Amino acid sequence: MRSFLSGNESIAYGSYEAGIRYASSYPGTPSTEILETLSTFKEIETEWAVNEKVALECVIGASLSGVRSLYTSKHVGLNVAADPLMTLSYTGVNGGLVIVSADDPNMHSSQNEQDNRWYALSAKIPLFEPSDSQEAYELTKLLFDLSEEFDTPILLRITTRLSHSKCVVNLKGKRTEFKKLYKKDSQKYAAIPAYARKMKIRMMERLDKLRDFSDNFSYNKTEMRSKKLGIITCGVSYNYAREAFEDASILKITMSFPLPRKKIEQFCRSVDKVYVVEEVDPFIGEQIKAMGLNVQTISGSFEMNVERLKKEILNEEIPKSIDVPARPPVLCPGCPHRGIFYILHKLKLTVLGDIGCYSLAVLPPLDSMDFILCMGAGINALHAFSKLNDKKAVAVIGDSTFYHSGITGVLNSVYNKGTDTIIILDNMTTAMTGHQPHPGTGKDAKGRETQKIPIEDIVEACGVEHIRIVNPFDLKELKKTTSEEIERNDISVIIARAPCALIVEKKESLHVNAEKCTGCNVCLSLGCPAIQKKGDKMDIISSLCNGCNLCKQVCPFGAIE
Amino acid sequence: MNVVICGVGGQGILKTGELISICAMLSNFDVKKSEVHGMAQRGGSVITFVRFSHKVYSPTVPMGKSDILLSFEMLEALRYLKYLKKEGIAISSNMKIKLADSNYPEDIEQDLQKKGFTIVDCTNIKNMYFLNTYMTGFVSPLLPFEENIWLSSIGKVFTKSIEENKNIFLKGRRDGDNVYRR
Repeated sequence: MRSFLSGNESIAYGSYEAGIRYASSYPGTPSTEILETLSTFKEIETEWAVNEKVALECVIGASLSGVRSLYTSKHVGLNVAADPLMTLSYTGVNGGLVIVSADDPNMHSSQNEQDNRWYALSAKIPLFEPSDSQEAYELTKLLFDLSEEFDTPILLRITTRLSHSKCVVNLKGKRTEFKKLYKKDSQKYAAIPAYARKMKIRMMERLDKLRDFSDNFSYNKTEMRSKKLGIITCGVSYNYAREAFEDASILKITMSFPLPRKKIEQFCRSVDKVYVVEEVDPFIGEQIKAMGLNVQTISGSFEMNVERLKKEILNEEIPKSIDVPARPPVLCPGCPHRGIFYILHKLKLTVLGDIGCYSLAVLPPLDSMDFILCMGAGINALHAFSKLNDKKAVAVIGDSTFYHSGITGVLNSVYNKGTDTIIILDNMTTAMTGHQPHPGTGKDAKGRETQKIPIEDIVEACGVEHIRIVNPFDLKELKKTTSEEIERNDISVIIARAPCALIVEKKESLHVNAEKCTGCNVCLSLGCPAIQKKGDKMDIISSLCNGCNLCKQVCPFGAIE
Repeated sequence: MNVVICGVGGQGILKTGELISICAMLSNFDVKKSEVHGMAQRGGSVITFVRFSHKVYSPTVPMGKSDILLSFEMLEALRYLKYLKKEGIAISSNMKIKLADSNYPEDIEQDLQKKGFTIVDCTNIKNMYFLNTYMTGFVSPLLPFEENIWLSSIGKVFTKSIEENKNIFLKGRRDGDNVYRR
């Protein structure tokens, strides 16, 4: 069947046909659609885990029970799951287990662009990099067989341009069911030091076998054309190299750890000059250099593309861009986060933030976040910051992020006698990644009803005595509550609760009374895309305005009706 | 053939990319489409690449290689003009979506015309929900797909108001025909 599929969808279809019975993930761009697609198959139990460590441990449990299972996350998500990953390599698997890491070169929607291929090297597990949707589909199916054959978890590394590019894919559409038995084998699965030493020996033997496999693996493919220019490349970069240099000979590496060393040596002998082209780190390039081969690496930062390759190899100029004012993404009209950041800016507080849509409040005019690092970091950083610096500070974290890794921070702060003010922005969904459910929503990944676990119950159970729930569209209330809680010499949690503007019906729009408007620009400080200056007065674009009333509250002349 | 579609998040740019791609697939081309999700969709600048041929490699269009630049917003048209090849065709709606904290170039329409753009008057489109369908119709005479392929693709890509989308597409197609097939 000829279908038009993204890399993410292709991985889901490949996993489905490979007979997986279980998949778990935490939403994160660019990986999210893999689990969303899998959740449509009745044969597969799919779950949004509260975080990636939980997801991988659940996937390991599924494999242990004898079924094939899949873990997916964005690159930084695998950091959270790195603990189980490292020892999983020692124990190996029962049912086939594949780990998908969706890296984000150029940081389209991420806080960094780390190259997760190093995890494969560090954990000593095989690593694969498909170059388009068709290959992602074929490879995913195959990887579950390899996982069982070599008794190892497998890392499938993809990047944004694979995840979110669509290509024509020929789907077989046939699923094969797999189920192995569970047999108690503590020498294999219980990593106590005495057993782990034996596991380590088995793991190193496995690595030797994988090296041989890589040299004979048909997806590691040499395409001989001109002998003058040779390119060793992998993943999406293969396409750029193929397009930029039609005559070049190419060694396309699909299994990039362990590398097909013999094929590489042979390739380097048969061409005059070799470039190693890959996105982000010179992961393959450095390994090849360590083999004593003379190659030049093209990698480093951001995404690869045809123009960049031609510039690096032929010194061809990249066309100049016209200087146009930037149009950064902004909080949506009617976003329940806007008011809080307007108030935090007014109160001149130090704000230690977190990961989510609200990271957009870093930019002007809201300009109200000092710090963003990784999920859960704001609460913990605030705990120590407040103990050691007199500056008035708060932590801000979203609802899904709170369930992901904010709970331990609250617990830690209560235990260690923190005086922190923590603001939880509860928009009742995982908004940034496309509105996935979480433990506060009462729905699971397949849309089934489940128990709702309210944030305030968790915070209370952690020992917080001062919990305030506020309406984020009432600026007076927000200001009063925040000012009071910041002065409190004890830990307090403010929950600002209203649904994401994109999951509720649009409210009636407001308009500007031109007779009263003085064009003072105060309403522009809300950073709402529905408010624009028209001549020397303000204008509200009714098709965008969501009637949240914040601008009405800030207007000093009562000009917004 | 390379098509670059751009505009502001929320204008239906990704849907247009999908529609052109499905037409190309149904017309037996190899197709690749590339876009970015997540943060980029919150009212920011959005760009989608569609490429079709007997075989397509790179999912993105190299700068200076696009046959068509289709923009739904004038400032974005200027921003992504670098993708258009010398003899390429440039089309933009006459929509202006202003910026929060910097000035919008007031003379942009004349500037785009000077740069060879066809500016499509979209002020008469009653509902901005249909802007993308109208613009796709306008560009459709330049793309090698049969009308019935376009209409069946609309049925596949849109989930609501399919008949209305088809009608608006056909109106755009007639208007485009007047400009490009005279």
